[in-house]
Amino acid sequence: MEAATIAQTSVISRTFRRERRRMKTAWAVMEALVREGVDVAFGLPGGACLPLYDALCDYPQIRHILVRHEQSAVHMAEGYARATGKPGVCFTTSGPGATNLVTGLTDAMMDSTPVVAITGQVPTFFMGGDAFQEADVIGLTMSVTKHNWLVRKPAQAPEAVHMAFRLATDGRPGPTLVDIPRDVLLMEADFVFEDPETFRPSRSRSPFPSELALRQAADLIAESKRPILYVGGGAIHSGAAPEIRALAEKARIPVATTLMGLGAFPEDHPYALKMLGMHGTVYANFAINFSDLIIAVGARFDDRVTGKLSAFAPHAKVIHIDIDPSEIHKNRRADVPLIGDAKQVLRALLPLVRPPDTEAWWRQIEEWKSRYPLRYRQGDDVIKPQFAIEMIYELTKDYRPIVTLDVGQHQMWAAQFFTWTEPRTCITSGGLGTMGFSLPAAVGAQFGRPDRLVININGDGSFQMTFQALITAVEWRLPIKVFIINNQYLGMVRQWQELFYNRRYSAVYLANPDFARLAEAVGAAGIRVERPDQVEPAVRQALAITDRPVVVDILVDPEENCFPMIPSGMTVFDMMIAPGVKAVP
Amino acid sequence: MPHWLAVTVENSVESLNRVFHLLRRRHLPVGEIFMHRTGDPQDLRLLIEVDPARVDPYRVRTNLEKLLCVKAVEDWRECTLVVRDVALVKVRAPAETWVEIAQLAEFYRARVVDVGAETLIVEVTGSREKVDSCIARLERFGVIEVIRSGPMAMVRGQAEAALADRVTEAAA
Ligand SMILES: Cc1cc2nc3c(=O)[nH]c(=O)nc-3n(C[C@H](O)[C@H](O)[C@H](O)COP(=O)(O)OP(=O)(O)OC[C@H]3O[C@@H](n4cnc5c(N)ncnc54)[C@H](O)[C@@H]3O)c2cc1C
Ligand SMILES: Cc1ncc(C[n+]2csc(CCOP(=O)(O)OP(=O)(O)O)c2C)c(N)n1
Ligand SMILES: [Mg+2]
Repeated sequence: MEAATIAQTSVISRTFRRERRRMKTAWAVMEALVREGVDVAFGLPGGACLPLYDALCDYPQIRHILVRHEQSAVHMAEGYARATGKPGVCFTTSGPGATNLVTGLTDAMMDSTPVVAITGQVPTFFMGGDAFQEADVIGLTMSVTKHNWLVRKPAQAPEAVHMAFRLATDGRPGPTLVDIPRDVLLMEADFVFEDPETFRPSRSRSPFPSELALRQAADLIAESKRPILYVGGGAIHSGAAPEIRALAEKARIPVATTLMGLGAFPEDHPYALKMLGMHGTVYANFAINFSDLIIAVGARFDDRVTGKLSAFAPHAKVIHIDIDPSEIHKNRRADVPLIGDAKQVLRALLPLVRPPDTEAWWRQIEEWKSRYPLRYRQGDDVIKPQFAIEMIYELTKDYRPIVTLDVGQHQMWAAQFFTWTEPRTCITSGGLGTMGFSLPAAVGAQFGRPDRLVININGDGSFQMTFQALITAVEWRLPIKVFIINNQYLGMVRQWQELFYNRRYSAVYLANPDFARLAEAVGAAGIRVERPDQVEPAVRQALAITDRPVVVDILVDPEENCFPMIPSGMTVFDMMIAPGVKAVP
Repeated sequence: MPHWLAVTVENSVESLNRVFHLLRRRHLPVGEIFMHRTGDPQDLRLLIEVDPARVDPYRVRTNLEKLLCVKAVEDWRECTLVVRDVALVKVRAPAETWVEIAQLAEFYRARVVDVGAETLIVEVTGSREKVDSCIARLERFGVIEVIRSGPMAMVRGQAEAALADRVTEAAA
């Protein structure tokens, strides 16, 4: 069973008694969190949220993980949520504590990650007067949360918390925030606790496609000659991997996934085309652009996938499965929109599906696959980043690791050179592309899945953005493996400067510290790797260390570029496989 | 008739903030927006003009529907409407012009609702065009100030509101 379904059923199966109790609001917040099944929260205290932290002392069932920077608290909550399907929780104080959340909340919003943030606010009698550490948190986070609540009266607190959880997970997941002034946190009141499931937005609807629409979709599939499944992050939220596989196999349809969809379809399956888009495989991009039918499942036609929209897949009809009605027709007009949860929609669609004749289509795809495999050349002296990543994959795959990726070239190489086979094992920042996401996300993922090996593939630039999360990992003795693909550059930016700005390198060289020694200094293990033959022993050594985090600093070819590449805003006919070399369909 | 979305929202500063914030952040190029009370003091109704050549009304509606403070969004393109505009027009009016202004007002079925030392306030109700025309006629006396409600609209002869769900199905 998928982690998402486990999480959902465990919430529903717990039984709740309606209870009335007198307590302070901060304690009522904890009660509500416990009723939501929260077992871990990430945060950092301050004046305005001191009552919350005081109450926390009475709730040992909620483990509090102290961060060193609040941005990491949200990324940890995101990592936890993406690994488990349950919302991640974070606490911060007012003002600077809350403003430090903004990047992480935006990240969660863009990637549809369920996160609940609880922030302390200055007392109500100070609000609006530029009080010490006052920030307009509701205003600041309005555009980066699904909804946020300012709690003005004690009685509203449990309801706001429960609604925040419902909204974070219902429909299209996303972040929510509850802002509670300090004086409200300290007020005593009679609280009534209800079954959390009774809190629903009044207009909550679960849309589902009509029988007619489902039949139209099945007809389009039966009539198609060159169909493709375009699978995104929504398939993972929905737990739709088995249904996607069933559809692909029943109708013999190739499957390409987005960066966010990696793992929703096993890449060791003969129908897998791996990732599509800007740095996707040549064959996935050819396949979608020459297709006559796109079946989009929880994917949002992002510009990193479509390139120039007007030229994207010009001959394709579109069946668009998405739970969010506002995604339909947003970037690409859908011929048959199927609004609803991907898993449920596919279940309803499957019995109606009749296999199209895709013989010729498959011959074409196989030809593209053999002509344009992913490749690189590893010599004897310098480590190629792709080689390092492939080694990490080969040596860890039997552990079925959960892998967090940061942002940049290393992210794309890992997307390409890992063979993703399982949902919720690839955790990365796609929509916002937030450098610094992956290390705290690995911490959160490890708290969510203590049973699994957690690997972090990081960049030398990105690592330095949220390095402090390593200190938290050491404190909790998390056996996370951090691999820094160290090219001594803001590599992805350097690549763009090389290709599109005449090699004028501007502010991309990184004068790095010795990462291995840095790791040792905070109590983690540190390993430095400089030659190709050292990679394998270093990975093995890292795997053998299980009582603390390990940082493996892998010095790689500084000027390696990431290909294939469809430059921003261009088309599949501009797809480069090397500098100045285009792929030819 | 403009293409309107009729949006019922909670009557609060916060809820209006959320609606306008969304329109701005999504860069939804909507036209004029009018805001009115309803029979329920908890509600406000916004009329949002959408030009389908500039923005897909479906997109505006589905985005608005994601806000908790939005109670209903109705697409009124297909509906026949009663539309009324109310204006108060303050004109410069020395006593010798009163008769003439009163006659003009009568012609528009408008009323004089305030008589000052040198001013009159005329209240005019009707279609937008009628109100425009009345104000234009008053110009020659010297219009000091105009305040108008903007179009208030209601769907003709329907026992129930045009439910948003039905429109969702049609658009989808
Ligand atoms: C450096 C860099 C390079 C990148 N290059 C690429 C690239 O080459 N290729 C690529 O694909 N991406 C790339 N990305 C990522 C890209 O920016 C987007 O984040 C990504 O393409 C979006 O993935 P998605 O379409 O799966 O949508 P997501 O952002 O995952 O959105 C999920 C969609 O599913 C819907 N949904 C949610 N839950 C459900 C449900 N239960 N049922 C049905 N639908 C649901 C949502 O409404 C939403 O529309 C890159 C990012 C970076 C930082
Ligand atoms: C917070 C943030 N700032 C800036 C960027 C722009 N950016 C995208 S990739 C990248 C370089 C990342 O460098 P590194 O982590 O070393 O990864 P590499 O590309 O070298 O593998 C930068 C600066 C970003 N994505 N996020
Ligand atoms: Mg780098």
